[in-house]
Amino acid sequence: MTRDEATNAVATELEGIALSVEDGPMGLLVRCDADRVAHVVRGLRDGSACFDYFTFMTAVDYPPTDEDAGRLDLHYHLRSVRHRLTAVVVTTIPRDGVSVRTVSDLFAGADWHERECYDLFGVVFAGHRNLTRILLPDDWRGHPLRKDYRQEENDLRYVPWKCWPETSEPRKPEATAAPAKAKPGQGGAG
Amino acid sequence: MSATVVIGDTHQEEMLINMGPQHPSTHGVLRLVLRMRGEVIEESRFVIGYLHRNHEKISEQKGWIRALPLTDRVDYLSPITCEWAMALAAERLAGVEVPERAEWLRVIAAELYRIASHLVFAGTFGTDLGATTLFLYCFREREPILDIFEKLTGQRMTCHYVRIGGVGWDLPPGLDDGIRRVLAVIESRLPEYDDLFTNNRILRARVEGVGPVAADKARAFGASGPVARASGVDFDLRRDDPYGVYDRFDFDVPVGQQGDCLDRFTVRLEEIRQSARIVRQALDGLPAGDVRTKLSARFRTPEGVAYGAVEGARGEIGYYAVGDGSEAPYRLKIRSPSFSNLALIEDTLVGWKIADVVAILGSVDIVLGDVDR
Amino acid sequence: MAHGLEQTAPSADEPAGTPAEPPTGGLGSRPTSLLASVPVAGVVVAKLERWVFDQARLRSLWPLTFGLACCAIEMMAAWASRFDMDRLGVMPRATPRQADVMIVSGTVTHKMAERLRRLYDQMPEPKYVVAMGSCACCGGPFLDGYNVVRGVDLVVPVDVYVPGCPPRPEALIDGFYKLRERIAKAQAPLSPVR
Repeated sequence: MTRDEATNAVATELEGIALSVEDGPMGLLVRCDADRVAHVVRGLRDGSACFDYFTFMTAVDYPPTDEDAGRLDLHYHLRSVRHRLTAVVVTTIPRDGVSVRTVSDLFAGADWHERECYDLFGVVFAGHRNLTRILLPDDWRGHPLRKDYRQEENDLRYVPWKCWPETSEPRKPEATAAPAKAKPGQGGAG
Repeated sequence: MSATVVIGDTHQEEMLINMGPQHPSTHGVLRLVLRMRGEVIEESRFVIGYLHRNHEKISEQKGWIRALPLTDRVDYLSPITCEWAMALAAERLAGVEVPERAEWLRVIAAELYRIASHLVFAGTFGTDLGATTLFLYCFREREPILDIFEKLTGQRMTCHYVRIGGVGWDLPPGLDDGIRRVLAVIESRLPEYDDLFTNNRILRARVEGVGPVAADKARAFGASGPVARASGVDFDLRRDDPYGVYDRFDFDVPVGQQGDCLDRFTVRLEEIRQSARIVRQALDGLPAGDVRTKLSARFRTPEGVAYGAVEGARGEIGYYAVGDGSEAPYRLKIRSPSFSNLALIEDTLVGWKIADVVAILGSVDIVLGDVDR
Repeated sequence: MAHGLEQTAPSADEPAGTPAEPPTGGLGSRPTSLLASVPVAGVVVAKLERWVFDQARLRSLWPLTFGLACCAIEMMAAWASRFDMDRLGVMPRATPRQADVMIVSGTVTHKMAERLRRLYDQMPEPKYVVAMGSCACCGGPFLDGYNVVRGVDLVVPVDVYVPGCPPRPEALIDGFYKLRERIAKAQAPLSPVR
């Protein structure tokens, strides 16, 4: 099955469910609403192109600016091993207050990826069997990969100004979440 | 092995065993919580994150050029492939052309480090199962490869060889012969390791038929690399989604059938032979030219999304980059092979004995820097 | 650095004229020599005894296999065929109860730091810590990370710092030689004791 055939087949199968299906540099790009993600993923998996390989899923944070309220984009990357194709499903959710239906019942591998999204971005997946932190300690406060994450929310024990109070500088807020237009060329690292 | 002997009135208790995060056989800081009845495992949970070093956030802060040397530490047993994947993501985003010679040199470096990584796997797998001789032999074989990289880049591990737009340095004179000699030595000793492991009845009994994984389960989890190929998922990024100049090389992709520990070992040993084959072809056909496209020190990527994936020693290592016109990626997601491979075996351990846990975990060959990033 | 024998022998800093109690505890509760009951000679013997034990100890340092990250691979290479730390008496032990020295090789994260401290506390005295690699020395290239501890000396007292990213196996062996010198001179850890 070639890429064009796959694009047409997927567009037909997901008609009315996905917002758009196009062929891009990364393979098929499917955009859909947040409440249709599970349908789209199931459609891709069970469809004729057979995208039954779950590569990864991730989120991209867009914090609120003067113009818009901010959003989180979820990206799901799937592969079709049989036809050697890739597909990316992109959906958008508000940053807080909304949960997305889990796809871990469709793809068992999504289990850990969704936990990581929850851990680092705070995205809640409804129906996940064990939505707990996976990479950070269970008592961590905040979601670090968000652009407005503040390290001071966490009262950590092994930090220089606590361990060696006489030799360290007084504690100041750390340079943590870089602003969206970071200029790493100035001021050295971080 | 499966005979049941009843001795009087045996009473099996349920126990909760904690393995790790400091443990000689967990290959790093991995924690397993095992609920066992007697010696048989009823439930297993993995706790990861003890090496979560924040590569993604640091890359957003440091920028492409400063974060590239850091990615060596993601999969530190196969660092060239991590650098390559990140450079690929940046090059695809920014539309950077890579010179021919640089692409061929990348192949040589990546395949040499794949051999080194599989040698570490064989050595540590043997040690986990008690065959310490294999550890000493494999590390002895690995040292000449590290010498090659030291002559090439100045560093044994974490070389920072691949750069955005090419590679860091050209092959110094004489290294061509050095590489061929090293490959000849390694290939001559591979039958010995096969003998030590595959023809050793005790080791075979410990790994044959242990921890089989089905192909559709491997696909559902996104398992990749030798773990997936041993289960019968015939997918190799070098052949099926080629990047660089891999479509010009002639090599086989070993695929197993049952997906047990022995298959995972044999697939990797065969991959060493295939990697040596690729390196020889690359050395024979190496074109002349530049090794690097000159880029600005303030390299920027335009807005857009790109995914650069490379077949690492453990599987598909990919960098999913969202650019925003600045010198740093707006979001860099590292798709790590060991994360998916480890998730795959979380419930494979159920039903096996505690001694098999070590065999199964060792055969998957995870790297915790890769799992936790 | 508390040494097990300090209960029974005066420290090297005390003047020689201080009367010493006969050695008790340590290896058996009987005095190890009749001369120990004599004040000046007792101090000399106790110091000699301690020097002998230190010399024996530094030639047989058993590290805890505590590989955290990339430096662990160079540590393994140091134990393997080419560099072979075993000839220095360095035999890796998997359990802290049987280990003398903890080689912290790799980045310490906040999630791991509590466990690291617990492992250090489980090691019997006298114990030493070698901070291998930039990450263990000061946080290294991951200094800016939100989950990274800036150096293992915030968690445990460190005797020897081996810089590098990763340090070559020869550098680790050199670190062990420096540790041996420090043990021979009975020196305290470099980092502020916690």
